[in-house]
Amino acid sequence: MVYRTSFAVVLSGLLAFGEGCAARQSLPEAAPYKASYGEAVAADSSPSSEEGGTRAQASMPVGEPASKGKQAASDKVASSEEAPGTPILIYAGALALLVDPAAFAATIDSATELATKLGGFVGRHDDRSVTLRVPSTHFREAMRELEKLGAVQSRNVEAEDVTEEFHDLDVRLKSLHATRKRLEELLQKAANIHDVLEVEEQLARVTEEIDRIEGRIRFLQSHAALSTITVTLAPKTPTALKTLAPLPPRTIPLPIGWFSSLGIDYLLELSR
Amino acid sequence: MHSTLHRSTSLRFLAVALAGLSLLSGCGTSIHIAPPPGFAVLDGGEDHAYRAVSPDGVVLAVRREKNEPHGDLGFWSGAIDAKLRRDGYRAFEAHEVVAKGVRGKQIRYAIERAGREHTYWVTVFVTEKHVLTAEAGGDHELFARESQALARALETLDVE
Repeated sequence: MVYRTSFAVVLSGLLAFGEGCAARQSLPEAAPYKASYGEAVAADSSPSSEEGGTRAQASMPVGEPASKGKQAASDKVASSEEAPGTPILIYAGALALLVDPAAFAATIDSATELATKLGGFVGRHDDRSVTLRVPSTHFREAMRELEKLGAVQSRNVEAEDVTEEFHDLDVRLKSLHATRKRLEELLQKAANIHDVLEVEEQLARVTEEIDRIEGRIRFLQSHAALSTITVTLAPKTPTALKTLAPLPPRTIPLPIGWFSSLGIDYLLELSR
Repeated sequence: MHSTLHRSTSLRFLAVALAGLSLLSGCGTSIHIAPPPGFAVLDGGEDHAYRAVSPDGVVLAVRREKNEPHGDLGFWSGAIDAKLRRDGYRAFEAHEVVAKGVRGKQIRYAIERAGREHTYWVTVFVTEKHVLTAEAGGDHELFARESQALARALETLDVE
């Protein structure tokens, strides 16, 4: 009787710990930080900024020297022991370019080659758009090179700060591992079938939660290591010539008969 | 017998004379130009000595007219430009071109037709006796695909 009571107390204590985890889980996730391209570039230009925890610092991974390579980025997001305050950012860029329609295919090819050269790959593409995945360390370089492929109609950069979510998940994961270990020890000590079933039920719940959190951590790691850039192409239309002098106020039509059949209408009238 | 021989000689003389007149006036003389790849050559029609068309309707056409009133390249390219701009064409580029060593001037225009942007190039060459105008045009999007081939074709025009 005394054994059963103490077993129940231990199990309820573990469950209370698990509830604590669940309560943490229900905390709202960090709101995404949307930076304009200008802000990101401005922040990139001062990678040695001393400002801690600011937006400028949040953009630092983009401005890191390319020589550090993509492994550095992967390591940074993969490690759960990273220095406090180091931001984990997921970058997404969108570029709308005006391009001569004859050059659509060549532009898509150039964008693809650039992604490959920087260690990335093509997520998807069609006749007028391409989605690239490039290492986050090369995000800024990729945007700059892509902007050279046409006249920039619009550009947009979003950086989602997932640092808080990542660390929260890491702490919860460690707690859940500890809970599972204690539940397994408790299972060894269970004296009757009722206790065994009760502990096993809790073990299954904790294991399921561990799997879910590990999956989310893997997702964040992969998205922080590789940025997404979507390039959309639109046809460039001719603009009026600025350099030619405007017509004088009045011009007199010359009496030249064949001038009347000059122009696109006569040209395209093939039955004439 | 004598009458038949006389008629045959007269007809031959008439044919030679007509051919000579035709050459002198510049009308009916053939135009030598390498068509852009994928273009089919048509007859000249009422207004041109040469016409070629792409499968989707981009047209290249050349006409040869007398240099009357007598003018140089500046006169003819200026007169054509003034006429086209009066008609609403928007010039967006102008530059010199050379076809088999003969200098000419090309002006590129944009104009809207049937709600679509169209491109129209006119290239002018002037010799002592003739004015050659090469026109190229079509829907802007279709024309852009052929623009490089058209520019290369114009360099092969035999102006003389």
